[in-house]
Amino acid sequence: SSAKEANLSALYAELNKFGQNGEYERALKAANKILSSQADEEKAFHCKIVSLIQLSKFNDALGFISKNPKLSSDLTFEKAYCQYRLNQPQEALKTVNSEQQLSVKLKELKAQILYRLEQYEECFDVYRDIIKNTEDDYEDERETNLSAVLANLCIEGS
Amino acid sequence: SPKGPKSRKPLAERLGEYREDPSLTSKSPNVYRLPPDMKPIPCKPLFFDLALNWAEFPSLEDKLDGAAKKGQSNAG
Repeated sequence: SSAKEANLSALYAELNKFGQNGEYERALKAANKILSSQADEEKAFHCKIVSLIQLSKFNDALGFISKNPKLSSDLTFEKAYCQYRLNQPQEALKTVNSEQQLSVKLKELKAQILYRLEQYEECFDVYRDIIKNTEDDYEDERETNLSAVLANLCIEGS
Repeated sequence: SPKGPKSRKPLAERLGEYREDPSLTSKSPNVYRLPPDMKPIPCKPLFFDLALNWAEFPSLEDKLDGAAKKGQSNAG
């Protein structure tokens, strides 16, 4: 019914506001409210997982992802990020590499995973690729990461 | 030899050479220097978790005015 749809968009408006303000506890509640009436709302589910990540509840997030494969088909990045933060870098790398084509965010995560796995040569290549092809507010931080990779390559080579 | 029995080099630092050392069977054997000498090691480089910046909500635009759009398409 249209009343239901109006209600749904009101709930999404709430969710959107909390997300923009970085109020992830509240966003999580709003997302759950949507999902309790519309269990197949993919975007609400996505917001729920992002909220859990922002709240550092990586175990919970990964649990919900694996219990809801249908809603999680586009959440490769989120899944791999949880695995990375739960100190499962091998699994995280597998998850990332399950994608045919890596988006910038997946490349960024892959670089960090390779660093954790001490695969510095490949890590270096990924960073060089990202730095060449992105422009955002984190270029200094990214170059700091690149120099950390270089430092480790030097230690390895010595 | 230059290193007589009076040498205070602990056993751990002269494993390659044979020498009778009565201190080893005494109550205070000179086996290892404790605490060990300080030595510099490379520090852990600074490394930022930039991937976290990418953990963000999808665009909810279509959900916000979704009802209105559907209303339009029904009318049209």
